[in-house]
Amino acid sequence: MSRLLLSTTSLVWIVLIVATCINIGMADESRPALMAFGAVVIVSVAAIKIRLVIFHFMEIAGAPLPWRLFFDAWLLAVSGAVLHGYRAGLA
Amino acid sequence: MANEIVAERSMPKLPGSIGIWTFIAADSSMFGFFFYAYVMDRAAKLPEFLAAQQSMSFVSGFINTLLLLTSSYLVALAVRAVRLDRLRAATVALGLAVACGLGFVVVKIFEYADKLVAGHSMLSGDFYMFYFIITGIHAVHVLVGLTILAVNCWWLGRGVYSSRSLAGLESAASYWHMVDFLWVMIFPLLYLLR
Repeated sequence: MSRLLLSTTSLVWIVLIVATCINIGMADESRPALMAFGAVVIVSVAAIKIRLVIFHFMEIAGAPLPWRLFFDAWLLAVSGAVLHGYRAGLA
Repeated sequence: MANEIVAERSMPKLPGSIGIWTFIAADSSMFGFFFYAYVMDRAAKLPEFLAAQQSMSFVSGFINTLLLLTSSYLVALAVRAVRLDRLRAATVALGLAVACGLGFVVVKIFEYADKLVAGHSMLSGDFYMFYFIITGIHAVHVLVGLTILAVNCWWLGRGVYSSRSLAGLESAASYWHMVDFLWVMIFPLLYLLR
């Protein structure tokens, strides 16, 4: 059992849980001055979490290059679009 | 022979079938368009969205994120266990993954009930339309995924999979991880970004 649990997969899960807690900490609506910077942190942390899931849990890290490029492009496009929309709302 | 196996393992390879990956690419792209439509509509009607977002509970979204991340982790462990021919450990991990997924569904039911009791429906404005459509379509994905995982768990118990034959399980796992990573973006989008 220890061979199963003592693995990169378990480390990735711990990082994902810690990152989720960081994101909750950033989402403090009582401090509006932090929100513009906070939004960048929240979306960036979400993007890092998604990349960890895709590349480690889904094992895309060992997939052919076009698939790795597709998922990185998807992640970049989605994160960019979300931040663009958020910034447009602040303007 | 040993060299051929090592060479085969080091070759770039997608786990599972190409069909499920084509679906994942199309489905995640569709959600990407939903996300963009949401943020652009939010930018145009910011006061309405900010007021509506006051009803969103960080807690239920946070618990559901922990449940899906843990479920995804357990599915990844199950696949790894089958590769090591640890079929009993794999069955336990997959069973626990299904339990976490069911927990997500229960929290989601309470959340929807809370919204409906408070008088919020799809017709209560653009925010709630996006909220119910995005989380509703995602919840359907969760229910489909749970059914697939439960069937795979049963197959595991019957010895259908082994380290030499697990493409079906890998496909099911890949689908479930997609359900997980889509939620990882939905949570900040609807609940945290205000």
